[in-house]
Amino acid sequence: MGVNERGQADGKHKYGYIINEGKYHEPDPEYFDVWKEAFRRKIHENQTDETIGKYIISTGYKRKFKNKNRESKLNVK
Amino acid sequence: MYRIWLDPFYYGILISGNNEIDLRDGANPHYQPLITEEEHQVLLDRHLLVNPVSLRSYKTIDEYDEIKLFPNQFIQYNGTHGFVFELPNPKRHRKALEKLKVNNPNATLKDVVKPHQINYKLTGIKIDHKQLSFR
Repeated sequence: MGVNERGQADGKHKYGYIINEGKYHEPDPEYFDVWKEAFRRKIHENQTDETIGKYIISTGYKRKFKNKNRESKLNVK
Repeated sequence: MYRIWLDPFYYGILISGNNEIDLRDGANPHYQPLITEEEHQVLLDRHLLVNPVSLRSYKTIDEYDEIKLFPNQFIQYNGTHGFVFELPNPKRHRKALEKLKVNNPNATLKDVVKPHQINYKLTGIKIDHKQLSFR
């Protein structure tokens, strides 16, 4: 059974989630609610990507990497 | 960002390569969805309304064109993967056609392929590790 067949992460980043030691996606305690709100704004208010991107960036969102020195901000395109 | 909005992972389907895993079935005990499947459908419908799936235009004449019920990719799965025409064992049909052409030079594949032999196969993805197809 492959990694993906067990429902484990295959290395692709998913916004609002972190990959735990068992290689499973689990909600990011810091930003899960931020992404939930972003989806709500997209679905129910049909806000533009730019507006939602600004909201996400305003929360201080930064993607987390294994290498703690590495940082990445959201690309709103 | 549309790739984020349309990723089925956020309601519970993890797609990797040809595999599709429903995380809501307990495959990932830590998983919590960000949205519901219905909300995902709203985003998908909205996206397809603005960006309709374009059917591939073929410049060459496909010998199967006359027996196709639908163009390739016409029937979509999840708006992202399409069904493609497939004729099982085409050699057998070509042989039958050659035989038929001896008496009827105007015979075409249409005359030797029966409706139940026409098959459409979902490409690029497997559902529950199986290749979907229908006749």
